[in-house]
Amino acid sequence: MRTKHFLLLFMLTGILLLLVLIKIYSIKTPESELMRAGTLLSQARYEKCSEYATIAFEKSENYYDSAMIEWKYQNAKFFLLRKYDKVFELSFKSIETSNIAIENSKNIKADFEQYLRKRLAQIHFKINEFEKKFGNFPLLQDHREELVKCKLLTFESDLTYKNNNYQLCNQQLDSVDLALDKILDYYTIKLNIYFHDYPQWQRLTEQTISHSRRNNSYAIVIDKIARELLIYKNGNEINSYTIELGLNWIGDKKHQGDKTTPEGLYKVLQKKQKGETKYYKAFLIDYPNAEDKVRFFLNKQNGTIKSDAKIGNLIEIHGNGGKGIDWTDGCIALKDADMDKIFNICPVGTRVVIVGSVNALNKLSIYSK
Amino acid sequence: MKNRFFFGITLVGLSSIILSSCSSVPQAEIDTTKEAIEQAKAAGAEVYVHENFIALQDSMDHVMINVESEKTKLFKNYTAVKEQLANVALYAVEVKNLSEVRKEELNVEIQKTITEVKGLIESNRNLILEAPKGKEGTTALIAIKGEIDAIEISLNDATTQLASGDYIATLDKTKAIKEKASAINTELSEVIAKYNKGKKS
Repeated sequence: MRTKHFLLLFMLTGILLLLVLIKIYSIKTPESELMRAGTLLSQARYEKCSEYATIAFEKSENYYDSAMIEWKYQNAKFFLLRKYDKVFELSFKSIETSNIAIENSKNIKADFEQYLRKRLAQIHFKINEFEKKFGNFPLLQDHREELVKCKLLTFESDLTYKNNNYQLCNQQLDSVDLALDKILDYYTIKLNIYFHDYPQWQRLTEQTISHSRRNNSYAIVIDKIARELLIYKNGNEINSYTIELGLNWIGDKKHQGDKTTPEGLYKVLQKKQKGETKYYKAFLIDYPNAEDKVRFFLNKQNGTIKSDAKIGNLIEIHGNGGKGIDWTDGCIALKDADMDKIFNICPVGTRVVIVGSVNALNKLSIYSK
Repeated sequence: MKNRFFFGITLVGLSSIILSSCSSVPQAEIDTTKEAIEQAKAAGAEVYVHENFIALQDSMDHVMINVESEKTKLFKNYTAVKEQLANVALYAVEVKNLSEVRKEELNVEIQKTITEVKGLIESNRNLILEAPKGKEGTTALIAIKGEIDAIEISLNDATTQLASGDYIATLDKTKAIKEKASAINTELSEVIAKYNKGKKS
């Protein structure tokens, strides 16, 4: 009887142990799924998904962490009570979102790279355009420094782009764009204001040319914007020469020392031979004329210029030019060879008209874009 | 006799369960390894040796999976996991060192570039001093002097940036500054040469 009981108990224990072992080994654990999820997360990190597919990447990370926490939690339970369903579910979600993050990141990165490439080209173009349009403008010191900074930052952003640091590159380009637009706007407005005088310039130029036509004489037209001295004979343009002006050439001359080339209608007062001028040869013009004197007086009266300011004189068309920069105190400089040419043909009394431009702003190709 | 036999069986069973549960998680090793990874991160490994750092993180994730995997087994054995943790900790030290080396390389390159830029700035300032004092020369040089000043300000910015430990961005900045300083040097030489040429004629 005892033996019978013992055998029964032994069999029951054996069955129980067998069931336990079957249970233990039948439970599928989530190692391989979590390994896969971990590998994909690594790939996502490598693809910089945290930058380019932030939401999906963070979700994937959260799913993975939650899966690990859940697994730990289940493992802390008595082995017969462990359930890994949620761990599997979270692992699969992590795998799924990692795949989405990697895919999105690749696409976004490619688009971003393309966008930045275009943007960099646009910024380079913008800087070149600024230099073409306003390179010879008398820039304010602050703007000059800002422009240098913009150029430096643009070059820096070229490097950050090459280093695949697209976010930083974009930030740098934002800064350059903003600063450039600010400067560009300032000088565009200044240029537009300057051209308010265009009708007057047009009138004076036409007057001078028709005078040349009527009197079969020579006339000199100075176009400041185009940096050109045009020679007219009998009302027809016969030649043009490149000129250099005063450092602050924009606008009319207001007083002595402002380094501005005057604007208005003048005539050649004196022809200075070699030795009579510091600048090779020169035409002395009749600045200040009556109109200049009246304007100077009015400007003093309304406080536009200081009460002790002087009007200035000795404005010449002279040689020693060809330096490629505006450097005079208000005179007009030509290359010596060009000075020789006009010196030989233009007599004393030749009309000289100095204007901002002989063409309207919308006719100037570099500004009309 | 029978009681002794049952007692024996129960004892063996319990001992097996106790023994199988006895092998505990190597928490100290895990903490040490995590600390080593944190040190690598603090050394900037995430930035300066990005790929190595990802591999390090990946290795640690795998080890942690192995830890949990052992927990699911009836007879737990953490010997292999401990070995893996030791390897990851060693790799973390290696990654940290690699990061330090990369930072030092960048630092050397930055210092070299800064020295070169300083040389260029000095050379540019000397060229300005050597330049003609006439109004035409001065006018051109005033503009260039402004650019040199702007470059010097940017160089100071780069030095500040370097102090903050941002080596990659600082290197890009110094390279850009060097490029501009070199361009000015060329421009300055050309302006002076042009002036001298004009003077002779």
